[in-house]
Amino acid sequence: MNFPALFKIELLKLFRKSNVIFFFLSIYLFVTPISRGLDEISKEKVVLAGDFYLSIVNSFSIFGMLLLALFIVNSVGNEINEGSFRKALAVGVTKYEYLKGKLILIVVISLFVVFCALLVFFLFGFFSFKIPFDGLLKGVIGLSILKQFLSLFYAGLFGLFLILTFRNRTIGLVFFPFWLITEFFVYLFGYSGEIKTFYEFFPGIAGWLFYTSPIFSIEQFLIVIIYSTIFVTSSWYGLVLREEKSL
Amino acid sequence: MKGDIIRFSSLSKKFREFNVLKNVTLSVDHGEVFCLLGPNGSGKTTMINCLLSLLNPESGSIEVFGSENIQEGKRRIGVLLEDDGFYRDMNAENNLKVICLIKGADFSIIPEILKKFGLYEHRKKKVNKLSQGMRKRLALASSLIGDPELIIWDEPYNGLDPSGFNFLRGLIKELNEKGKTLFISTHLLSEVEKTSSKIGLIFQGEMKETLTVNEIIKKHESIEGFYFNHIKNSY
Repeated sequence: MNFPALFKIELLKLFRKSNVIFFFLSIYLFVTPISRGLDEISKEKVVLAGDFYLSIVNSFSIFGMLLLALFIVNSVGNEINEGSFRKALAVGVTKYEYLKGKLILIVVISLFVVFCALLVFFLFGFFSFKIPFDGLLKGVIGLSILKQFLSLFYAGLFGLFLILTFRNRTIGLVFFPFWLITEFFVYLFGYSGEIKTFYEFFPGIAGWLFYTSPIFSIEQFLIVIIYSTIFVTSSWYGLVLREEKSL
Repeated sequence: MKGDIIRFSSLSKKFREFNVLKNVTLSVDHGEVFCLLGPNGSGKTTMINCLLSLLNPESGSIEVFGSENIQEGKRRIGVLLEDDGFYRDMNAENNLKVICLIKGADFSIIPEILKKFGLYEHRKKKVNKLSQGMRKRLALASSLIGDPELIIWDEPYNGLDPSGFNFLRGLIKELNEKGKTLFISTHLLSEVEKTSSKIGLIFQGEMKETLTVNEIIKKHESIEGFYFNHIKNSY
């Protein structure tokens, strides 16, 4: 199957009811961190476009990555549970094409989240903080956009890894957030210097640090690339080594 | 076109230690309506799953359109699985659009196919809002997208009402007249007699006998006789 066909299939599936509900839930969950970010920045006497941009990027980071991973777990989990994944394989989709379709989906959603972050930045910057458009444009860091996209893509791969390796939505939707919370506490201990940890090597924190850090660190990038390779490889073997028994 | 469309050669499949298929050998010729009979749990669905490469056999081989690379020929196969496999919260029309995209068929055939199966008025309904019979008709409709040469149906009669049975009989006849090959698994003896050209009986994973309807009548007097002579104790 060619790229346009795979893209159209994923687009058709993207607008199914369960995904639309997930989308509205995501918007609801985004409101709190974004409004907190805006509150913080509005306390400044002079709002600088660069600082405002980083504040928006930070506001989108945790929920953006977490929700993207959960979205992938939920949508692929739905397909496995209802048998549509099995049927797709039966009627002619290869496992390679299925994985390719999911990667296309992750790219599309990642770009959408990056676009939303930019939209919020420009709208609030222009209308609430009265920053001129060219000032806002100068505040946007090109490299940061690339990092956001890569981090979101990485989060999607994380979700794909969870569902295709374990084939269990509970692991993805319940265990996964608990795991990330644990990572976050370890990160806090490490950050405060109370306990020496290697939090930057944890998969969740690694992605988040890559997303939010103002500089492009080669080390962080390599960590993300290594984990991404593990996630894609594991997802692939989760697909090809498993038989698709009747439901 | 003549010759085997499907060929199972000494096919065996195990689930853990349980032998689900034991050395199954079978061939289906071009243009045949082949019915695979057997009680519940006899291995019919497992055979179909192996045929569609959803399961990997322990030993033996399967050829479809003369090739062991089944994936190559999948665009030429129409499939109805026992579980319909639809995107539940997507409407009937969009579900068919997905199949069209997979098969490389044009969307313009969808209204015609929905009308044929009496589902055109329900095209915007989510699949989980359709009745079991409607879902089955939709699954049958989806199996015909892309004008397949080989049609594989697993338990197509499940969930259909008497007029659905009647419609399906007519459909099988129509497809057969068009030269399509049908591979149907069922346990409905009365329907098998009316529609098939060749019947295979599988029991406890073993292919007991494969005969034409005339041969069955000669040897066993009736389809029921054929079935019960082989299957003494299925419970």
